[in-house]
Amino acid sequence: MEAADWADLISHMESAKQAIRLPSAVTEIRHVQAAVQQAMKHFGYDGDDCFAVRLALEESLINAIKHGNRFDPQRSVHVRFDVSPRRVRISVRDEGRGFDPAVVPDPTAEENLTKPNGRGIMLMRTYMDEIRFTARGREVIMVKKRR
Amino acid sequence: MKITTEKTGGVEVVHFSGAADVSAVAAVRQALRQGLDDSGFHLVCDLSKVNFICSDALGAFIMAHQAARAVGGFLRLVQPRQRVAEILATTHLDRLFEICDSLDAARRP
Repeated sequence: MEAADWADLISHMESAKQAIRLPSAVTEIRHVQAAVQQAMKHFGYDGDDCFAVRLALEESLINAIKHGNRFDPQRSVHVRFDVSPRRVRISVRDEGRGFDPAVVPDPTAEENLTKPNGRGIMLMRTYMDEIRFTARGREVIMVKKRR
Repeated sequence: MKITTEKTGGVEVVHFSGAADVSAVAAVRQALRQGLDDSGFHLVCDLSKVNFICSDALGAFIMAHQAARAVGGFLRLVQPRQRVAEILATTHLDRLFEICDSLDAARRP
């Protein structure tokens, strides 16, 4: 959907909902980001909330594409978001094998500080108010409540 | 993301501006690699105009930092904005990186 059409659509709605199916390419992330950010701005979320959601969504999409789907062009990432005046709810689901989020190492541990990866989930947990994994780790559902 | 470099006082400075999101990571990585090569592994990274940073971009800075440290050099971060500074603190990377308040402070030997 074009940005102008999306803006027009949500201007008449009490909440902005959309389901998007992405190919497993990080170049596609910006389209989802743009739609969510536009909806948040429409409902008057402040800069800190917009930043938090942008960061968590970026991390969840990178994880889905890179770790879940392993950049497989045959696999998609399914995103659903629902932006209302009170909260933002986003689900990101990949078509990979799944994983156990409980076994992801603590990136703040001294022995892990110099590792270039492993911070995405921690940032998602820090910047969103609620986050849970379903479908054996293939789906993450995140909620940000308006400050 | 916009990336420029300058060399003053014998120190290479890479200026980053905009969002270090996933689409910028390749460019960040390349700029850091080139900066380390050009500077003899003494590199200053100006983050004062960076308004967003994802974990993959953080990873690029970590790799460059480790490469510099491995040969006795340094990679210093300068003036990260509040939200970026908070990410560095949240991830405890403020314990790994030397973070300077100014370019002058970062340029010292």
